[in-house]
Amino acid sequence: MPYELFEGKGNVRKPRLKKDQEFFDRAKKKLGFPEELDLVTFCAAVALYKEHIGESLDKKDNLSLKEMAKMYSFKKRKLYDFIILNRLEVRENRLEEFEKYFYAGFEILKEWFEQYGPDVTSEIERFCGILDYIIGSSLDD
Amino acid sequence: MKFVKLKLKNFKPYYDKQDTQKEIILFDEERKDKNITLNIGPTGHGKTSISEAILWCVFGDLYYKDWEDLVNTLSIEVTKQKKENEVNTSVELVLEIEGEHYRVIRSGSYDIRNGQKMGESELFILHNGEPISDSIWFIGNHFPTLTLMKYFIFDADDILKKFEENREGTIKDHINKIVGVEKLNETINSLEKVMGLYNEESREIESGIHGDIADKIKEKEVDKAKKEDAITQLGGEIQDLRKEKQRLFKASPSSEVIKFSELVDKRDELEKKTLELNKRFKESNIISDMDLLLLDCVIGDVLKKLNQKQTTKEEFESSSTVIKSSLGENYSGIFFGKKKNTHLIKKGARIWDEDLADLEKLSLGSGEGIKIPAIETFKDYEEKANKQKETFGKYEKDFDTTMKELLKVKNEIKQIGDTTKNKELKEGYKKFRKLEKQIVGKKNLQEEIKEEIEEIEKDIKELRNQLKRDEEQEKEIEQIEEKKKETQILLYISKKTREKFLDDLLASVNRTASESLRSTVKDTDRFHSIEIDSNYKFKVKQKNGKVLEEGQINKGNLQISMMSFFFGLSKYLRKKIPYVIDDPLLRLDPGHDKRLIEQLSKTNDQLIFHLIPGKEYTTDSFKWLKPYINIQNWLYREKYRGLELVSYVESKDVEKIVYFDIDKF
Repeated sequence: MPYELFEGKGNVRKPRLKKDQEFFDRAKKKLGFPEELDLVTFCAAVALYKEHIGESLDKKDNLSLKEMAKMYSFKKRKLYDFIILNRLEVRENRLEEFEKYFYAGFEILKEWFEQYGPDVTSEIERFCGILDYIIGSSLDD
Repeated sequence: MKFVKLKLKNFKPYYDKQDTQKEIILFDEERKDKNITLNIGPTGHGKTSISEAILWCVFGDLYYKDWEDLVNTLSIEVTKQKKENEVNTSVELVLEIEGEHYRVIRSGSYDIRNGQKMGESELFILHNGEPISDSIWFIGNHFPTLTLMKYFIFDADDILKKFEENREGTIKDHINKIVGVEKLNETINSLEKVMGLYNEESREIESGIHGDIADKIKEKEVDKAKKEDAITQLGGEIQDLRKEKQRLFKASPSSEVIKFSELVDKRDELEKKTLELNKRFKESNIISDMDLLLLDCVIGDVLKKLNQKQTTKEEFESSSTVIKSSLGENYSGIFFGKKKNTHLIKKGARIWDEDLADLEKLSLGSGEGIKIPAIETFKDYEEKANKQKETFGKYEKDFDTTMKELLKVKNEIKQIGDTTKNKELKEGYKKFRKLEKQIVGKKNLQEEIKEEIEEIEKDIKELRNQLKRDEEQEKEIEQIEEKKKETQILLYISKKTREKFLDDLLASVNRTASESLRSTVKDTDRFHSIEIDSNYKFKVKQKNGKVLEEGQINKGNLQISMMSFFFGLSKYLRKKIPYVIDDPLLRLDPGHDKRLIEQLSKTNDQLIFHLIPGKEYTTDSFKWLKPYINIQNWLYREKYRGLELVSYVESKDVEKIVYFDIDKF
């Protein structure tokens, strides 16, 4: 049985809504991500982690997204696809599933920025704050 | 001077038979008016050995340095037979000088074991039976040098042969020897070398002189003055800064102000540190993989799950079909040992249950057929995630520490009270410290300039020394120039002396030689004079002054002319020493020999001729020699007791010709 990542779908997408778009751009800049894809994967990872530690996720259907990058430029596609396949055991429409996780994470990130964002001035501090917010304690714990 | 007697002991062919060797009489004092001594004997009978014996007797080892063939061979053999090691050799020459007799004795010992002389030979001179006190002085006073002695004791045949081979070269050689020009030439050469050395020395000194030193010293002094000005200027600036400092805080700032300022500085420093840390973090390329920090535990969980997943029935069956078709007819199965080694099971082979228990189950993959690639991918990312965790952990720790410190500092500042007054005071203190720093900076600059001045002073000192050395060297050159002048004068004098000596010698030799020539040849109009010019050209002139061309002079006359020149040279030496001449008549034409001898006889010098019987001593020559013969010695050679040939001498009646049997010789 031939295997194709995310069933051979062609594109990675990002939020389409203006408000979301603005936050997406701001977050990318504030966190210092070189690529938009870096923010996408970070958001997905946030959501996957939350679910992994047993927190409930608000996964939305019918997301309003727009094309952002071609699939071949998504270097970590294999990792995310395998996680969805093997960890979540989703066999059909895995890219859509990935997008749901991305957006759920995107929302969490938005929450943090809304609460703590204005007081933080540097990238490293933001990451420390976000990770602390998500994990709840230091990485060393 | 006359050579009267000669006694040879174990010298060359003359063997001493227990000291019974007869004396060779060289001058019969009963016949004083006759001045020719004849020693007659064929070649190899000991004629030349007589000449050599005289030279060794007078000049010793200076003449016979290594005694090669000096000691009689028979005496060596006899000494060996007697089982002795030493052979005594001696020559005794009796001289007559102004009516007085002197016995000159030269003796030495020869070691037959190593074939060498035993030390230097010894010289004794006895006068009336008593040794004279200074024998060396006696020799020096009565004889010329060994080189010049060769103008009295020589081989005429040899001399003529050399003249014929290279006339000008031989003439030049003789003249140089006689005049001592060789020595003068050596002196001139040495002086020229000295001149060369002086030139070289002054060139070398000149190359070490630096003409622009005085200018350099001036430049350095100007530079030094500028730097000294700069120090003074800096001193003024420091004073101004101090005044400004005093204006800010009359006394020193209070401890509160200092503490507050330090805390603010610390805060600024920590804020700067966080900025730098963030900058490094942004540049570190780890931001792109921040997701892996969160995925770390997810990946670990998936990996665990994948590893536990069992193979489905369909998967196992389809894999087994593939394996079976590969195994062929000889093998029934395949299994993997715990050490991951693969074993083929032969058909009919039995595998015990306990062996099977050790085997691993064959896992072919997940239900999707991607278990293996997924595991690889997850393992890969698990590794990356760990690295990311480690790297970020460091940044986080660093950031956290800095932030905590910053917070602490900020709190302290708050406690002191970040009031306007404090801020102003802080600003004042900041200025105060800035001024202090400026003062320190200027002081340091002053120190640096002072060090530079010290260096310049050192340079000036060195340059002044160099200037002094230059002056000394210039003086040295002046001195060398003086020496050069003196040497040039010496060179001039030496060259002039050589020229003068040469002129004097040539005038004297030409005169004597011309006289000799005229009294020897028949046609005195044609062969009137001999002239050697300053280029050593040998010319024979006619009475009318015309020079005879080469082809106009026959061989006989040429020989006579040359012999005349040669005797002219010896006359120049003005020593009344007997002539001992080997083969004087061998090369001369009949007639010329007679005339030459007659001419030489007139000088009243003792002439000792070594003649070869049959060639020089003939019935004819005896007739014209007879009136001048003082003594007639015949040299014989015979086997001593049937052993070796030795020479002996017998004096014969001078009035009678001795007939000899040529075959006997």
